[in-house]
Amino acid sequence: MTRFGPFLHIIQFVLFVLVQGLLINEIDLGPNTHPLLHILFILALPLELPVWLLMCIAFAYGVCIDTFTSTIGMHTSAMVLLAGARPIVLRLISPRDGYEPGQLPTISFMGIRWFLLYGAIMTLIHHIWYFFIEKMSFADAGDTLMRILLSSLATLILMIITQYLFFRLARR
Amino acid sequence: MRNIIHLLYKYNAVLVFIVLQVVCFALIFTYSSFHRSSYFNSSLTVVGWMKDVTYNINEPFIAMKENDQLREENAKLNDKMPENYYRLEKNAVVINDTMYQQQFTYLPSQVIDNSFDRTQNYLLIDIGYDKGVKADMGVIGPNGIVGFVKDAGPKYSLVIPIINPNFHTAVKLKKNNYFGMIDWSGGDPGVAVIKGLTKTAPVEIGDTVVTKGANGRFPAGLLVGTVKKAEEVAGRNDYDLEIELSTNFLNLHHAYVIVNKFKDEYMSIRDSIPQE
Repeated sequence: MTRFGPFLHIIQFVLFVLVQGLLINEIDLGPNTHPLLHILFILALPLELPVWLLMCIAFAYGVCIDTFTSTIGMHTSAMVLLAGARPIVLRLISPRDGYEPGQLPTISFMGIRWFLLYGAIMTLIHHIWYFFIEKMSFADAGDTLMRILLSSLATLILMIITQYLFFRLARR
Repeated sequence: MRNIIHLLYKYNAVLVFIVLQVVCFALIFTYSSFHRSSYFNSSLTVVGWMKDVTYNINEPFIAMKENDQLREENAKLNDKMPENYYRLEKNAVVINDTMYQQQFTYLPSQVIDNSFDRTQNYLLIDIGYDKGVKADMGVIGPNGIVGFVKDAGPKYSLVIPIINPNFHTAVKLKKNNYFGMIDWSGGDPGVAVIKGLTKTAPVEIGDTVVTKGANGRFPAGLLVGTVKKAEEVAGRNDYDLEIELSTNFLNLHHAYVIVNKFKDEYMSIRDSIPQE
């Protein structure tokens, strides 16, 4: 990662917005499954970023995602929450020796088992917030929970596939 | 003072978080009331162009099925042309008709992006104010009403469909003109709820529901759907009424924007209703 510097993440920003906005939003997996792969961008940012900067990046990123779905503010709010929760989650599940400098919180650096835990917690936080905001009420909470669970599962699977297919070059 | 700065520095993350979330929620809640904002006009242009490109890639696959549907619709419209009617009274005198003035015209458009499985659903159509589309105009599809225009960019417009909680319009039963408000609050994109239809109205399953023509968006009598469920609930004086929407949002690809030529007059008359 250090070899590419911030450029890798800037390219990821654009690619994730386009892939989520033009491709993944168009995939129809039934009424309850909406994979939100774009959160992987926030998940994979460098560990050293201060949380306020992380949240500002998340805000700009969320606005871009929202533009594609015409849901101004909803994705943005969920993105900011995700960014705010990230350092706390990272501290909770930190490896015994702590994180090494230059590491990224992705499968290629941390291994699949660590990432499954990290990804699952982060996805659930984001999806619970997002789908309740989308619905704007706690009525039919059962339906919304179903939506959250199915979508989280789809997101997690997509995140793992994406990393195995496209994130490998980051290691070398 | 130093303590305050120290405190702000210590909790800067919490502070940034709260500020950003407040901005987000302000955006979410004000969005439902801001029309034609400059942000939306410019973003509609860019996103619209990108969605147009993806649509063009998909179009050949959609076109074949779509052509059949359009042909059918054309045939139906052709049937209504006056020259298709046989005059029964050969002796009647033909007079030039000045009794009618056209009130509604239709602008054809393609739906280049639509969502139907979310709670806040939207459509994007490929005409904008360059072609005369303005915010608040009605939109219909081949099978019935679709929604209304929320924002019009130069070449693209954003449509709020029936299957969005922000869509409300007055509808009535075709057979006896009893009316209610259409409402949709999530779930099945083929089913909407009608609120406020009085229990004294006779309703049967399968009754046709059409627009009332009350807000100047739609002419009266456009197809909305058919009654699917009508139950009386104790303690309420309206029906628990569900209708099956005639528009299928899952394969909607052609839509017409309705231009109401009398809208200004209608609005000024309506605004003169005294408010208490």
